[in-house]
Amino acid sequence: MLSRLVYIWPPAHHVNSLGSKQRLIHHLDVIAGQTSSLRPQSKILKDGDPIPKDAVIKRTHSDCGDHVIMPTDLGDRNWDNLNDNLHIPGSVWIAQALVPTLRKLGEWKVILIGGQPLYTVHAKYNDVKATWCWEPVDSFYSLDEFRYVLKNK
Amino acid sequence: MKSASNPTEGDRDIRSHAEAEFMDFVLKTYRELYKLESRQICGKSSISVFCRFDIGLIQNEHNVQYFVNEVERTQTASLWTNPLKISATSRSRIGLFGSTFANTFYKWLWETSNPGFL
Repeated sequence: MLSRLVYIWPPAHHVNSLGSKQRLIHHLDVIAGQTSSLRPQSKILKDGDPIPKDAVIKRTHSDCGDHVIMPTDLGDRNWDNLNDNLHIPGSVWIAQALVPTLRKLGEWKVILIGGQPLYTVHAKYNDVKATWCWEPVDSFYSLDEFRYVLKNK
Repeated sequence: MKSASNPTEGDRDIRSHAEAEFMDFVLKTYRELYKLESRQICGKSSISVFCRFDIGLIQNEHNVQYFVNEVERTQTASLWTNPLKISATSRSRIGLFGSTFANTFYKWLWETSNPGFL
């Protein structure tokens, strides 16, 4: 309604459709298929489906790390809890294969403005401090170096 | 390897290649995602103004590759600009972000309010 009177960014219909994790995962899977790249497998969960023990459970229509249930969050991995958190119309839960390297090596957060990378931050969850540690990225390791390190760990 | 970022060893060619490898993955994926999303809504996807790609490493028995773990695109996305006091290399990039975003957002607003003009 408000968007008829003023300009809103991002447009609500973009967030509700394109921003849904379900659509995003589908698009990223399509892109990975075109380039023969690896992707963690994802599956939509329906009420009562078995909840895979080793998978990360994510809800659509959510961001900022909300509604992400790790395999260690045993108390939250049940359908009573999942159904209690489906109050956004159209939202569903998705099981995504756990990617151990995310915890081991962290992830790179790339800020893009106008389609161009502006800066990159490397962030890693610190299990001891139970919080994220991060630093701006000025330089990168190559995939060959990561292959060597992961193979010899 | 103490940290997965900011290596202190390796020559300039190795580091240039590594950065190009990373950015090539980010930009190729961004362009394809922008195309898919724009086609779906018959317009310009809002990621052309701002988004944040979270990139991780994924491996199977033969290979290690980058993959996109998440794409954030709304006003609530964390910008990761607050520098950690303990890190000597940390510095806030909020000023850089603000100025660049303002220019891009103004362009989006102008195009949206003046459809048909180039």
